[in-house]
Amino acid sequence: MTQKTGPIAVEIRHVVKQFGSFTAIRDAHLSIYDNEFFTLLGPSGCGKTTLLRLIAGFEATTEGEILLFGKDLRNLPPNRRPVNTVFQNYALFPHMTVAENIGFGIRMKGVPEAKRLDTVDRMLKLVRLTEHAHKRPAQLSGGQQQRAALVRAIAPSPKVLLLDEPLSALDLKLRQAMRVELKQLQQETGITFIFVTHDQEEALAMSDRIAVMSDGVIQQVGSAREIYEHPRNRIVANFIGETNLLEAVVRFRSDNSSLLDIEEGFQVECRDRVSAKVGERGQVLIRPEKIGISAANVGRDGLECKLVRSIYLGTDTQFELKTRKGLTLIARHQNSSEAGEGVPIGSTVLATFAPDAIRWLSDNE
Amino acid sequence: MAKVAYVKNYPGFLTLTLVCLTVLYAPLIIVTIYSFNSSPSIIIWEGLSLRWYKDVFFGIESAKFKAAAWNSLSIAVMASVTSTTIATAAAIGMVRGKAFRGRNASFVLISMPIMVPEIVTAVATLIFFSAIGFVLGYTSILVAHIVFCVPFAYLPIAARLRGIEPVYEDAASDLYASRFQLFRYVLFPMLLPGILAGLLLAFIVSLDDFIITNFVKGAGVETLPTAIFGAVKQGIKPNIMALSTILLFVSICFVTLSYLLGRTGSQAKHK
Repeated sequence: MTQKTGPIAVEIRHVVKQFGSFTAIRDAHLSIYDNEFFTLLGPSGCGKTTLLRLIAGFEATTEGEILLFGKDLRNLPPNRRPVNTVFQNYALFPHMTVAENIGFGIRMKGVPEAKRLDTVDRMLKLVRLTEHAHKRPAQLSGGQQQRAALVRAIAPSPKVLLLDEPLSALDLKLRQAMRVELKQLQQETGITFIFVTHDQEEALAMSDRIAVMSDGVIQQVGSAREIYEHPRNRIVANFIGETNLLEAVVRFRSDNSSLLDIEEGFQVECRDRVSAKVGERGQVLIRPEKIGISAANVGRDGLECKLVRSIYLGTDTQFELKTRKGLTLIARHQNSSEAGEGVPIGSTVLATFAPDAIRWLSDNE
Repeated sequence: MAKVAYVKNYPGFLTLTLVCLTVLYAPLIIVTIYSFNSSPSIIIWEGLSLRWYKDVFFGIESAKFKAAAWNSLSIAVMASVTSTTIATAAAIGMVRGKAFRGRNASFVLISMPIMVPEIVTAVATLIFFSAIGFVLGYTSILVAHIVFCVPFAYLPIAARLRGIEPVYEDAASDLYASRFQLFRYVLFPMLLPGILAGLLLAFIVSLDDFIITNFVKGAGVETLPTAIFGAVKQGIKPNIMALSTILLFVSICFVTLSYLLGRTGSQAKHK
């Protein structure tokens, strides 16, 4: 995924949002570029939806400012912001037909009827709803409602489209199909998408960049790869994908290669820049798919473990390993590879780590 | 498993129900039946006839009844429309507005006429009118009706509004609707079943009101209920039964309609 630069579509500067004594967002700082598919990712209650509502104008910021293409949005009500929202439960107007719903925004903007019908037709075609134009939303399936809500928000050609967990009400199959469709739509229209989700897979699949949020704080901003492979702290590492988080003691340190003790007497090489001094503790992350498993008698350099459990997951198998000191490691391998295959439960194996498997968490607290 | 204690399983429930229903509806049924009596007596049945209905419309007292009916209807229409408008605004303010100090107090104030004995409202209204030197007559009845109809219109409208998720209003303003457009194109149509139910309820409450009207009406101005009361004081004649039956029928129609509207309204709570 290419890193996009260029004009900044939305800039969030030191935004704080409080509801009474509860702080939903603490000092958020964020630049979202034009044409970007940007995702706010985090568990429920992390403030991602609040941030979206602040951009849409449904809530006012307690502190800080939000700029849209350099223009301060303060005191602009939602109906005067060139920003549209796709709501979680779609919020299609039940008393209007699909076509009326889609045409609502441009009608309110005062677009003349002929041009309006034209746009509505185009939108209906875009999401294959032409034959449902005169139905009420309640007569549509979930996926169709979703698509209607999507083009209703796109029809007025907003500068930024906000999507509040729009896929969460769909079943898995439909959700995966909609992911592709959303991404395509974003590329075709060139509209900046700000997408809110708690589903990391969704975020990784679609986004140009992701901001991981937790407890009202933006923990890390970066591309899917950056966030997955170089999480800045434990919160991000835990939220994105499965992880093994281990304590490590620095034994030797240089700029591009360091030696860490992850268990007494077992050292691994780490190629990240290590922020702790020799003798100090820190945390490292090892993704399950980066832990190799080989038979104990192969004579390779590895950590001796006991295979506690293996779980067959279709494409993958997950292995639970326990070291002699009682540390648990989760490894995961594709079933097409031969790693770990046929190893009986309870037997001793060697866990091996490639140097790039060991990731140092720079932000330790 | 223990049997669920439905109230209908209690001993004596059936008897009690029958007694209550009889006490409530027997008089109405008797009045309705005797309104079709061909005899001038109100207790002796002589045969089926529409004589007293004819008498209501064309008899000696028909002019009086027609004037009263006109007053009743015109007041009911104006009072219900005005009070429903006020109630709609109040409901939006109370349900959608931010919490403010005295919100509960405001609710109590709005629903006061339902909770306070009507005679108290009647006396208070009369005292108020005379204190400010308001001339009693048609207008005073209208003003009083507008006021006491508000809570009846308010309740179904507020109930309906609570059932509408605020996200529709968010969506409308997100799609460039001004506050007026939001109300006109989104909130009002969605609220309509509640507004109609409130309107009908207010209409019927105004049409049927006797106590307050009797206090605040000026001399010579009559509505149907006060005209009937006046006629009854001079002895009950079967034409009163016919008139009452007509009024009863109109009431039943309106209440049923109001109920049906409220029901389709809540059924239409789409996703």
